[in-house]
Parts: sequence; C-alpha cells; structure tokens
Amino acid sequence: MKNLEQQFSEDLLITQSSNSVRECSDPIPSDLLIDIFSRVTAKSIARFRCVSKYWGSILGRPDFTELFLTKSWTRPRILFAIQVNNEFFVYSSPQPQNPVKRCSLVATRYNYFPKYFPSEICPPLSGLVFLHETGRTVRVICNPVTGESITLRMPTMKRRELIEERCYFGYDPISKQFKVLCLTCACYVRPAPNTHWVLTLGNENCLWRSTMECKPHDAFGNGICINGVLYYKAGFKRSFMIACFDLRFEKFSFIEVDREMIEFDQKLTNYKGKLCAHRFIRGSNQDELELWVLEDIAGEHKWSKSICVLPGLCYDEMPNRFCIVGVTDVGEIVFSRSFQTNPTFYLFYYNIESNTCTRVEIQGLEEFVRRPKHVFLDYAENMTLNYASVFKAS
Amino acid sequence: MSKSEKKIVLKSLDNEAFEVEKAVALQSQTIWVMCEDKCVGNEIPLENVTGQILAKVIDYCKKHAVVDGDGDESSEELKNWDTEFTKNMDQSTLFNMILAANYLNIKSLLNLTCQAVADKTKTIDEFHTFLNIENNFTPEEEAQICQENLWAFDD
Repeated sequence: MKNLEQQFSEDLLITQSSNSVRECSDPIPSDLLIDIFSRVTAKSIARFRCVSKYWGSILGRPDFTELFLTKSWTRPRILFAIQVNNEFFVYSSPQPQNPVKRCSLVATRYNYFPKYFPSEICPPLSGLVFLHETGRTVRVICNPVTGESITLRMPTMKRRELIEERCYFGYDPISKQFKVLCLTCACYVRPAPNTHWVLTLGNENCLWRSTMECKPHDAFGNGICINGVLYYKAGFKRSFMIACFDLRFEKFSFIEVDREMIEFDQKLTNYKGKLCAHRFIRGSNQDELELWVLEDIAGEHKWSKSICVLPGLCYDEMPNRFCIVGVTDVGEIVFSRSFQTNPTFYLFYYNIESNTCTRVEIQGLEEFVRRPKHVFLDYAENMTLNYASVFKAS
Repeated sequence: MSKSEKKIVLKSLDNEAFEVEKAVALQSQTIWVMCEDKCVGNEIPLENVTGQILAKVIDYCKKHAVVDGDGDESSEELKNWDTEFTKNMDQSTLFNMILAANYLNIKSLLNLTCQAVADKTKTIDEFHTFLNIENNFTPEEEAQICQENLWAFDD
C-alpha cells in the first residue's frame, strides 16, 4: 500500500484545477496539507469527509486517523455528556490550562447517544467512552465523534441469577489496545470465588478470555485507567486494597491502602499520572479536600496525604454539591456541580499551590438547565472508523 | 567580531534586500546551513520568498530571537504576539508564509502558520477555497454522506 503522502501527491495532481484561486504559485506540499488537517477539530474533519470522494477516503485512512489521534492528545478537550431522560447529548470544548479570570469556553455538539444506551458513562479513553448501567447487562463502547458504537455481549455463565458482574474499560497506550475487564462472582458469597474475563477490542478473535488467576475479591466503586493500568477498589473478608490490572500483560497485583484510609469512601482519580483517592470533608465553615496520592518511591508504594481547604467555592449557592471532574497536567483540580440550577454552567479550576479558584463559564449548554451533566477532562477526539466493523466480524 | 560580520543580508525573489542580525537570520535552518557551508557571502539570495513575505518572516524571527536571548518576555506574551501576528493575515499570505517557513526551515513559524490555517478552515466553503477542488459526489451520495454526518453541520 502506498503511504498517505504518496497517494496524496499523485491524486492531488488530478484534483487541483489550473485556475487556482490562490495567489501563490506553488501548491502546498502534501505533507504540510496533512499536517494542517491533523490540526482541525473532528467536527471539521467530519464535514470535509463530505466534500468529495477523494477527500472522504484520504481523511478516513488509518494513517491519517492515527496522526489525527496523536495530535488530539496534544490538545485535549473537555467532554460533556448531558442526560435528558434516557438520552445523552454530548458536547466538547477546548480544555484550558491556567485559565484566566472570566474565561469562557464554547462547547460544540456531537451526535447524541440513542435511548437504548446504558445511562452511566465512564471517563473517555483515547476518544472512546464506555457506558453501563446498574441492573442492566448491556454495555456499550461508543465514539462520540464518529457515532460508532459497539454493544458488548457479556461472557456466558451458568445460573445467571446468582451472578454479579462488574466491568472496567481500559486502554493500553503501548499496544494501543482497548480492553474490557469483567469480574463475575456469585451474589451471595463474600468474597466470591470470582472469574475474570478480558476482551480486546478490535482483535479479530474478539472473545472473552478467562485465563488469569488472582486472589478472590469483590470489585467496587469507580475504576480508573492510568497509563495502561486499571485501578479499582478490591474488597476482601476484612480488608480493602487497590486492585491493579496491567492491561498489557493481563496480570493482577494489589496495593495496600494506608491505615487512615480505612473507611475507604474515597473516589479514585488520576492526579498528574498518579493514582489518587480523594474525598470531601464538609465542615460548618469550610470544606476540605483530602487527597491520597500513590507515590512510587524506589519501587515501593507509598500513599502521601494532603489536605486542601477549599476557598469560596460555594459562592452563594447551597447545597454545594461539588464533584471533582479531574486534575489537569499542571495540577489544577477541576470541579463542577453535578446539579446546577443556574442557566450558565460553570467549571471551577482550583490551584493548590496558590490556593485560588477560577470560575470558567461554559457556553452552549444553556438549554440543559437542571439536567445532570457529566464532565470529563483530557478527551482526545478520535476519528478512527474501523472499531465497529472489526468488532462485528468476530 | 566586527559589526559587518554580525549582520547578514537576505535578498528576496524580487530583489529586495534586508539587512538583519545574524542571530535573527540563523533561526532559519536553511540559512544556518548556508552560512555553515560558507557557500554564500554576506548576502544570501532566497529564491522562493517575495520581499513582502520575507519582511514578515524577519519580523517573526526578530521577535523570537530577542526573547530567546534575554528571556525577559514571558512565554505568555510571546504566545499573544504570535496570535496577533497571524490574526489578520489573509489566506493567501498565510499560505505563502507556510511555504516560506517550510523553505527556510523555521519549525516554530511553520507550526504557527499551519495552526492558523487550520483554525481558519472550518466550513466546507473554506475547505473548497483552500484546496480549490470540486465536489464529485452524485446528489444521492452527497445526501447520504451528509445525513451520516449531520451532527457536523448543525451550526
């Protein structure tokens, strides 16, 4: 197969007509054109694919979409999923770093997710989101940009009514593979002798595999994927640990939690590439945020605790139900209100070092007042087209 | 080093001469190589760049040379300057700037101008103008493909 540039230069000779509207005499070299297109938004690419057959094929080629994804990572966006009855409306906006006061961002719209999709949405990984819903067996992996979706068939098990399953979605940046980890266990035995299944997306023999062995444990809470490792809370008879599942080698390991974390009601987040468990401590005068960051010191895991006193986040609104959206590369913690009655939707950037908080207005979501909004950082637009077709073939 | 050695003359396609500090000109890898090879004298002919474009390229290089030198200006200010620099350029100028940055091999300027074109190319019309191409879909095909990508046309 010819590479993208060769194909491009040959075809361009045919498609470019002689009476160029451009004043410059030389055409822009093909590598530069490809460079330029890898910098536009996914929405523009979707438009340009409709321009001509030729452009439809060039902008749909795997080598272009891969370049586009690589560039997307360097300009991450904020993803918004707004639930209206059973439907999700999906938007994204640029993701600022160190936003200035009175900064506002414009959210642009993607396809909406159909009604039959599950209603709980996990943080996006390399452009794809994973949807599930308590009490429903259907799980969907979806690309908000291309609108492609894949419905997962769960591994078949005997005596289904006694089985509980929990799924975590992960991405390994080295092998560039998406995987789903499914833990199944019998409902009434704790901790249950469980079975672990793994599925690789895009693999031609895309089937659930059950090959790993590990200590029986209960999985609970939100899972999070950082640099090819899935983390989630694991419960044993009398203790809790953090389960780590290496997506590349498909191996389990467990990390002990600090004694002080014993209640373990923290949520897991990605803190500048490190695992972090956080929780709010609400006081009568002020709110505090407790952060436990997992440090790797000479190969040993160590939890380091810090407490931040949150400044004037609440403004005049009560109850101040904030949730952490995520942490930016420079260490700002981004908050949103999951339920907001104001017509204007805001995000709050909290800088730990300067102990300051900046309010960022999000425009374009005005019609969704009082609708629950899910917000995610570091969303990379992914224009790859073939996930679904590869998957269906299996 | 004498004063004359610190300066260099760049000559455009249309024979316009620009005397600039060597440090400014050497941001161009192409000029740097030319100077290293000593294949040119103090005057460097640039056959692919017009005087109008070269003047802009030199403005850019001057700004960036100063900043790299003393580090007085914050990267934030420099970023704002870059934004202003490309903001009011028309498409034809931007294209020529891209070609010049590519020919002169100035990575940061190429990056800046490519991004500026990308930011200004959003609608189908802009794309058509950009590439000067025609639509070769049949009306049925066009209707279908636009239907599939409907979300991309809603504003």
